[in-house]
Amino acid sequence: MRPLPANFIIGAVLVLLVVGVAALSLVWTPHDPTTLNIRGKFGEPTPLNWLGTDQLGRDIVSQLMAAARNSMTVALVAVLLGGSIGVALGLLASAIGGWVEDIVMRLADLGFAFPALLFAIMLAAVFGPSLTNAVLAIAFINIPIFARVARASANQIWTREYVLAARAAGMNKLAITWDHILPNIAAVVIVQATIEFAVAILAEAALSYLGLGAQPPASSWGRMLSEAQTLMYLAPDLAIYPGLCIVIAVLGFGLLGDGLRDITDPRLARAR
Amino acid sequence: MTLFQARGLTRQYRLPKTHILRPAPVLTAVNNVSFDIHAGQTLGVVGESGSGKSTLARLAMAFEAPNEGQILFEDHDIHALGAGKLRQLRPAFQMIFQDPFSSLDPRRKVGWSIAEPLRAMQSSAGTRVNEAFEQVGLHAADAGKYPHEFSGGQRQRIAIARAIITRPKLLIADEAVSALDVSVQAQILNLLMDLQDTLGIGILFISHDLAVVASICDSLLVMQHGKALEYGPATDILNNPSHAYTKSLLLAAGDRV
Amino acid sequence: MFEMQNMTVRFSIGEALRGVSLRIAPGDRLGIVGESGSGKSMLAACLMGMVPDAATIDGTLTIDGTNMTHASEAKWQTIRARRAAMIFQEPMSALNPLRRVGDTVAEPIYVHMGLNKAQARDRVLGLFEEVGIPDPASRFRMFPHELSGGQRQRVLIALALACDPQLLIADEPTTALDANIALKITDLLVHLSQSRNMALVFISHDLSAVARATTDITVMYGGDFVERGVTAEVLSNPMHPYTQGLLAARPSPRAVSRDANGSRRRLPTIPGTVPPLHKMARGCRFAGRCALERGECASVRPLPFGPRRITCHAVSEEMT
Repeated sequence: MRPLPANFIIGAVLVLLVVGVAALSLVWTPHDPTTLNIRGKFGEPTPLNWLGTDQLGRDIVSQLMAAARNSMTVALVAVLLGGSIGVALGLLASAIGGWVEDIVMRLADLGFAFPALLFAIMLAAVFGPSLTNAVLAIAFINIPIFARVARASANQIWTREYVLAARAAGMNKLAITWDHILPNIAAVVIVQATIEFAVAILAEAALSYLGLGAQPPASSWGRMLSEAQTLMYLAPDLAIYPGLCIVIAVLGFGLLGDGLRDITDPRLARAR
Repeated sequence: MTLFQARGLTRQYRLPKTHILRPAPVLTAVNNVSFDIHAGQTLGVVGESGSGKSTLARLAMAFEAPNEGQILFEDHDIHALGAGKLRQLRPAFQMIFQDPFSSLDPRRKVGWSIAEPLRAMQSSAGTRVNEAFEQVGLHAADAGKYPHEFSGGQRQRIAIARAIITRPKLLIADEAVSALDVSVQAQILNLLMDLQDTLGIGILFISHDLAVVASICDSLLVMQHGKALEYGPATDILNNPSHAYTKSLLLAAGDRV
Repeated sequence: MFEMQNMTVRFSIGEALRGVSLRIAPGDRLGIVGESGSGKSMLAACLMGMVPDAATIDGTLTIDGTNMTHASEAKWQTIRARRAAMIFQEPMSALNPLRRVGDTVAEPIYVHMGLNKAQARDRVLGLFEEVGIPDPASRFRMFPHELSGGQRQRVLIALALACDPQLLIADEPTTALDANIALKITDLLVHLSQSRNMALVFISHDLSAVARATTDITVMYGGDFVERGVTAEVLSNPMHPYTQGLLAARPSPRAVSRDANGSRRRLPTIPGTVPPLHKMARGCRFAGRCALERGECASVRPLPFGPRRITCHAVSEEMT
C-alpha cells in the first residue's frame, strides 16, 4: 500500500478536530454561549474563560464551539441537499441525453450565473433571515455544481464496456444507472462534496456576517466577525478567533478533498 | 428457420463539416452487407481496422440501427421492434467483448456481474451462476471474487459465462481472444467450440486475425472498407481465395517457419 | 557490446528474472518470445536501466565494458537514446499528442547531439526517409492523430534512431498493428538493423513476426530462459516442452473442416494458466503444467543443457 498523501492526513486531522469540537458542543461547552455578563465584558483569557469574553461578556470558547456546530450543520445539510438534487439531475441528463440533457445543463448554467448572495437576500426578504435560509441558498448554488460533475462522470461511464454489456443483457437505463453508473461516479462525487463543504462553511460565514444567516442568539463565526468589526481597535482578538476557526475548517476540508482526489485517482489506484 | 439473417446492411455516419457551405462528408462504415448464421454454426468475420467489422457487431446487437437493410433474428426484424420488445428478446443473443479488463464492472463481484442478464429477465439466478462457472471451466467458489483478482484469460471465461447464462441461441464475439496470449487464446477458442457443441448456439466471430478466425468458423466473411469482399464456406475461401486482399491476409497470417 | 551475466531481478513476492545471461553484439537480431508473466518486459527494462526501484538486482550488466548493474540514473541517461533505444507497443500513447511529430523526433537530437534547429530538422527528414515515411517534409509538421497507425510506429522508430543507437529494443512493436502493416514494420526493422549494423532485440508473442525478423531466438517462461537457438531451428524443431506447447497452440489459417462426427478439431493447449509470481514453483517454473513432469521438477531448478541451453530435467536426461 502506498502511504497516504500528506494533504489527506493533515486535512483529516483538521476536519476531525472541527467536527469533534462541533459534536462536543452538543453535550458540553465550558459555559452557556448565550449567557450575558456585561460587567465581565472584554475579559482577558483566564482559567475560567480560556480565551476571555466578548463585548457582552459571553465566553468566547463556548461561542466558537456553538458556532462550529452551526457551521457544520449548515454545510452538511446544504451540501447533501444540493448534492442529492444535483447528482440526480446530472444522472438523469446523462442517461436520457438528447434535448433533456441540453435543457438540464442550460438550467444548471442559469443556476451558476445566479449569485447565491442575491438568492439569500431574496429569501431573507420574503421569509426573514435565518440559518434555514442560509441552508437553502447554499443548497441552491450546489445543485448546478453537482449536476455538472455527475453528468460529466456519468457520460464517461456510459461508454465503458461493462455498461454496454449490461445493455446487452437487457437492463433498462434506470437499473444501469443505479447498478453501474452511481457506484462508479461515487468517488468523484464524494471528493466534490468534501470540497463543497469547505465552500459552504465559507458561504455560511459570509451570509451570517451580512446578517442574512444566523440570528442571535444562534452563534456563527460569520456573525462573530461582523460584531467584532466595529470593535477592531478595542479588542482585535474578537475578530481573530472566529477568523482562525474559519481558516482551519476551510483548510481542513479543502486538504481532505485534495487528498481524497489523489487517493482515488485511477492512475494511482492502478499502481496499488 | 435461419437463426440470424442480415440483408443489405448499410450504416453511415455523418462526419463534422469541413466546409461551411458544403454538406458534411459521410463515412460509410458498412456498405450493403448480407449474411446468414445457422444454429450450431460459426460465421467468421475478418477485416482490418476500419473495415467496418466493429460497426457490424453493433448493428447485430441492435446497439445501433442501420441506415438501410434489415436484420432478422429468428424471423423477427430486431430494429423494427420497440425498446421493450427488444429487451425481451435480448436473452437470446448475447455478446462477448474484446477487453477482458473493461467488460466487467470493477466494483462488483463477478458472480453478481454474470447474473446480470438473468436479473434483466427478472428471473432468479439460483444455481444458474454456479452452472455457468462450471461450464466455462472455473470454480463456483470464484463467484465471490472481484475482476482484478483474475487473469485476462479467466476474465474472458467470466465474460463468456455471463454471455451463456441465459442460454442464448446466438453469441457475438467481437475480438474476444485478441487481447489474450497464444496459449490462453487456444483454451478460449476450444471452450467456444465446446459450448457450441453442447448448447447448439450459433456464433458470429469477429477478428482481425485470420488464423484465429479460420480455426473456428464454418463460413467466412471478408470485409474491407465496409464492403463484403468474399462470403461463403470457409474452406472454399481460404483454400481458393479470389480477392487479392484475401490473399494478402493469408500471406500475413500464414508465414510459418 | 551488451553483456548480461546471471541477472536476477527480485521483488518481495518473487523473482521476475532468474539468473539469465545474454550477450548482444552489433548487428545481432535476437528474438525474445514469451507470454504475459514470462519476464520479457523486465528483461527489456534491465537493458535500459528502467527496473522499478522496488526490485533488487543481482548479477552484472556490462555495456561496452562499463559495469552498469547499479549505475545511477545520470549514468543511464548517457546510455539511453545514444547507445540503446526502445520502441513500444502503443504508438499513440508514446507520442505527445500536443506536439508535431517532427518536433518530437528533433528533441533528442538537440539535447544529445548539440545541433541547431535547421540541422536537427534535416536530420529528422533524413530519418523519416530512412524509415519509409512518404513526403517527410509535410509529415514533419503533422500531429500524431493525423497519421495512421503504421506511420506513427515509423515515427517512433525514427525517434529511437535519432541518436544512432547501437541497440534497438522493440517491445511488441507489431501487436497493435494490422497484419499487412505489421509485416512491413517487421521488414523495416530488419533492414535498419542490417544497414546500420545495429543490434535488434525483438520482443514479441507473435511468433511469425519473430520468425521473420530474427536470426536467434530465446524463449522465456516465468523469468527463465527455457530454450535458445537459431530461430529457424527452434521454431521448426522445438525441444523444450513449453516451446512445443506454445507452437502447437497457434491456430493455422488453413481452414479446418469438421470430421465425420460433425465436430471441429480442437487446438492443442497447455493445461492450466501461468501462475502469479508468488505462486510460481521454486524449481522449474513450468512445473504443474508439463506433460513430462517428474517428482523433482517443482523443487529442483534445471540447469541449461545442450546446444539449445534447454532448462528441463526430462529433456536433459533424454539427451545424455
